[in-house]
Amino acid sequence: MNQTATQVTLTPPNQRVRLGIKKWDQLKRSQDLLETLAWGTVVLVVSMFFLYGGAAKFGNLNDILSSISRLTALVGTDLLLIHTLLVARVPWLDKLYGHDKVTIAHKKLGKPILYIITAHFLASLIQFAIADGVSLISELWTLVTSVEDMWSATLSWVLMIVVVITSINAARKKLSYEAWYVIHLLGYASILLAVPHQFTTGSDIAGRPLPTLFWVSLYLFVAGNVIWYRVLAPLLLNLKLDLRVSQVVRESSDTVSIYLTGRGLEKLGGQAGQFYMLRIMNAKNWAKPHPFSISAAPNDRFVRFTIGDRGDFTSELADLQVGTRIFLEGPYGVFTEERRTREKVTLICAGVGAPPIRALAESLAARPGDVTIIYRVRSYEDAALMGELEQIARQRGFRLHVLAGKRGVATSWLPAQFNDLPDQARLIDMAPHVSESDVYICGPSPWTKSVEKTLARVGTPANQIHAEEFAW
Amino acid sequence: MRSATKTFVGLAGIGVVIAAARAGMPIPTAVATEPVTDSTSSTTTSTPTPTATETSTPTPTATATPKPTTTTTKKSTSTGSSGSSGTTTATSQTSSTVSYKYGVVQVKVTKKSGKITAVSLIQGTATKGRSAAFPSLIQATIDNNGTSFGNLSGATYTVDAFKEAVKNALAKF
Repeated sequence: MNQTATQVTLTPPNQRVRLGIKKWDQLKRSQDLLETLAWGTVVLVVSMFFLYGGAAKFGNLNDILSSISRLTALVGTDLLLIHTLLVARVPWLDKLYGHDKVTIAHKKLGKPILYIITAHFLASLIQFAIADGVSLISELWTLVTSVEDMWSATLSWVLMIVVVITSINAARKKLSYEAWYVIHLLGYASILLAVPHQFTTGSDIAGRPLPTLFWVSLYLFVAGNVIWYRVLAPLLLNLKLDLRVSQVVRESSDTVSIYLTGRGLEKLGGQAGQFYMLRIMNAKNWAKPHPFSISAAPNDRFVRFTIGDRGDFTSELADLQVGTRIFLEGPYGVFTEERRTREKVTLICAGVGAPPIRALAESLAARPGDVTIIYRVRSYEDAALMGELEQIARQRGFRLHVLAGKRGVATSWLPAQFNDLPDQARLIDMAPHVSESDVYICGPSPWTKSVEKTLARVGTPANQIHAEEFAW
Repeated sequence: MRSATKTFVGLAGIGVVIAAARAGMPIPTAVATEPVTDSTSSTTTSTPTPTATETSTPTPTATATPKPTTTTTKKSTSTGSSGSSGTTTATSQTSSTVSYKYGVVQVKVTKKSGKITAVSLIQGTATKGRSAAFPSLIQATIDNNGTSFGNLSGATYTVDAFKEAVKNALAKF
């Protein structure tokens, strides 16, 4: 729909923003502190093992196996709890790292944890089999059938294998999201099933006050964060807000905007550039959350998402009935003004990446001339949010460059007609202050990489480049 | 993490683990147990006594028995003194009662020629079927001529209590 004629009511921009490299240093300091704490727990559990005489237990094969089994159990469980905390969508983690980085860290930890826990399983099994003088199979049978809490611990390990295998990229491609998600929930079962044997037969916890205190606190801390931030907080917020679809507007041939209204929208919080997990609350879709960025700065009148029509779910959104209930989880992400350190800002987006850039442009604290917007589209006429970006640029004195046209050189992020000069020359031409500005990039992943390469060439420091990596 | 922090945290972590390992190291003498007492070949010196006390430290009750009298008679080359034990005659000692998480253990250990020949259970309770461990523990004690054998799956506490009782009894020889 052509919106150039209709003026939208813009939300007033942020009045002030803290700039300067100090902000970046503080962020890095907080990150370092938190990571030190996380690794500190690993050091602590290993230290507790040695403090209780673990170093003396490497004398013979039996002791070596027992020590391997205990150390791997301690380290594996500690990492498993950190791994779980990383998907609890904890706001203090999101604020420091962004949802994407946290999710990547969660993914990275999965396989190593399985290997460590498997080492624990095998070391215990071999140790007991040797001690009892029986085969591994018959020892496993004895353990599972007659030793307290060992069946659940073994089941926990089996579930862990299933969860990790189904999360390997190759398997993810074959599984539907729903199937993967249900299997992944078994991860929680796996964690819980392993708890009894740790406290009843675990040589490093039971009967020792210090380790008991540590492990009980760690379990409760992680459980508290998961239950509150992952389940209760979003549920309570949505029951309070009662968000409904109030309007569905076609923005271009392949994008629609969905407007939501609810009670007390200011409680939703959030900043321009952030995204929410959106659930359509009907029988078919309620279990499938999808991430979408808000395409207008947060305000007390509506929440708006502008969504590109790319798959079965996104095409369904275009047919949403007014009044449909929507659940939002969030806000997430650090693609926000909070990460800005410089006076000048360059916003660069392509196609479906426009919504968060549009929201940022609306809300950035800036004087005329501070902000340059570069919008890469296939055709000027069929570009979502074009009218609104033009209106913002006009009202606030921002430069807007619309780059329409077909792709040229494969490595270039600019249209074919710009390829006579290197990308960096074109970029400096469009945004002369780019090297001393914060740059926000949103677009398809390879395109974003290409922009980042150009930015490195023009000398924009890495800490001034902001790009949200989509990790689902 | 920034690389400077990474280095610092890494080194500090290794340092803490090493410090913990050193702090957690048991006093080396504690390992010297029954065999030492058994092999004291010739004289009836006072050396066995400190060894005996060393062994009994984990079980405070052991000190109650008058040691000097028993230790003299334990040489492999028997002096023929009419005392409690000799080369050929079997002697027995009863441990004090060791109570632990799942019950109590008290054993009687019989030795002949410095070898453990029999262990009987005077008291032995363990909840949830852990008492099934006792027969194999008795066998293991005889086979190893002492308590230097491994753990049994799922019965760590029972095993520990049993070993403690055996050590206690052995300390009385």
